Amino acid sequence: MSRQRLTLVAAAILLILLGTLGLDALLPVLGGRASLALPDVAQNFVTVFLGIFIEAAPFLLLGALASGLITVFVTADDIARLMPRNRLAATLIGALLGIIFPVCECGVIPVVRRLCQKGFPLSAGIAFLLAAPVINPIVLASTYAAFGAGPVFWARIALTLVIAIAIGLIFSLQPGLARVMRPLSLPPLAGGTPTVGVPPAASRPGPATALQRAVAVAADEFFDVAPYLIGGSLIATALQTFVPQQALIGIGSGAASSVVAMLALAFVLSVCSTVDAFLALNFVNTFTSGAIIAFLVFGPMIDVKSTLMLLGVFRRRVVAYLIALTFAFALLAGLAINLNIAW
Amino acid sequence: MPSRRTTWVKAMLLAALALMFAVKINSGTLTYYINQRFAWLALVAVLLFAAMALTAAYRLMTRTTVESPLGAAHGRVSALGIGLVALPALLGLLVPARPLGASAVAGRDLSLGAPARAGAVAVNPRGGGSRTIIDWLIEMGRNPDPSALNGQSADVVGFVYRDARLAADQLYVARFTLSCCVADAAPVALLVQSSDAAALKNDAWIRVTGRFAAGAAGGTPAPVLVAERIDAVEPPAQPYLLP
Repeated sequence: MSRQRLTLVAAAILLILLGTLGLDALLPVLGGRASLALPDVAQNFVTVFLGIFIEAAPFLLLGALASGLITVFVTADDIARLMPRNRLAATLIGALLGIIFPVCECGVIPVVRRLCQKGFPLSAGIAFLLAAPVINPIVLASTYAAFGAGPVFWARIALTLVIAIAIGLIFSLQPGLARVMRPLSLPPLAGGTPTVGVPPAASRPGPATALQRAVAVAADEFFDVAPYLIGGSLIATALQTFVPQQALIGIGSGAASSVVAMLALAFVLSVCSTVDAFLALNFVNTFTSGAIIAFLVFGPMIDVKSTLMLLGVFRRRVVAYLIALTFAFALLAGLAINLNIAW
Repeated sequence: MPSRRTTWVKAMLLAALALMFAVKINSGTLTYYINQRFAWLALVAVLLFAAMALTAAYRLMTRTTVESPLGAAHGRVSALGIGLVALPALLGLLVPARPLGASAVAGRDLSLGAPARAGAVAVNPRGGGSRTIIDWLIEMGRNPDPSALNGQSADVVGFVYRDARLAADQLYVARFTLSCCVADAAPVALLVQSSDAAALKNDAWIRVTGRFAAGAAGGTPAPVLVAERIDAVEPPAQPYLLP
């Protein structure tokens, strides 16, 4: 065993030991319970911020890993071969891809970016981006657990699919990736061919090296997106800490105002789609059914946290379109439900 | 391609994040932040952060070039980006963990003070065992008559919270409920009446045993738990109620 490898193994063992053994003994030394005891507001801020990060980071990591694996193991040829040429069919597949590729709104962004770089049609990528956080087994199960197989459950699925496909198709009119994604997110030959610099099959490395490369790409991916996740979490935490929720709840019973209020709440709270159904349950008595459904459709597509993450990948104008379109569709859907079904 | 220095910084940040998650799991404070049914995800995070840190370190030591499929600019991180990623690691390691308490109730007054509405909080009422604050609120939600629970005995644990409506001999025994993480925490509480109320500080964890009677909070009729006994207790390992 080489010296470097030995150092590596020693570092690994040290890390695991530190993690699993006497770290709480070390903590008072590191933190000094008294020295860093913060005032209540700051302490609550830290708790909520870390709560959002600890909940979201694993999903982002899994998304980054998926993206790393795609980089190394999936070629642009594979995608060209598997995706139908027909625009509508491709968009439909994009919207349903979450069923076999379960990612939430934190994990989906690196995956979409990587898929699009590999030549995945943009319309399908956008449909996947918007639909996958809802149309996946985990979120469907939690929605079912909270609401049963009733109107809310089916409306959430149907509206998410319709909105994701519609917006995906709108984006299919866009000619080139360069007008949609930020330059840094584009392959070296920006705006041109989607051939990405994966070594040709002949020189492909062995599985261990390939896996290592995938993890290295995943780490880069994490650093590309995590600052936006963390910035978004900070904003969401600040809004939670300083804007009283009663301000929104007060308008819960109007057919239109309740929908707008719940959309605003979904945007501000930035709760992961895997559990937002349980949160929505809290509002069933206070808010109109259109507002609840709009919350469940819009929240997973767009919120403070994901907006910042989108800004890291897409051009600013595109993010603005995405937000405006999803907001408009969700608002319309909520209004339609309130005016027809609730009465 | 990121410089060697950037890659070292990344490796150390990844290791620090792995450490932060490991500390939270190991010290039992993970439950201050997320619902324990997601605890396995934190373990996944430790493993993935550690794997990424080790891969980066290994590549640096073996001088394997990390040729990025995205061209030269990819893999660079701004100083702001580094700072933002360092933030949760530093806060998580340096600031002592503390669950949300009385001071956090004020901004998120969702189901406190209107106990009848809080019935919607719980997904499934639990069977068996002693009833928690949520279970009692569900009972109250079923029957809004403030005297419906008269004479029933309760034994609940929570922290002390007060608001302007309460009389000097009243307090709330409160808990936060959690579906996912503290971002969705919502406070729930029972109104308690006790001659010792004034002596108890906000945020102190107490166990209240007593019987319900019809009473009022600031003029609004509501069931009141008339305390027979209030004991100071240690904060529970699971500070939140998980509906």
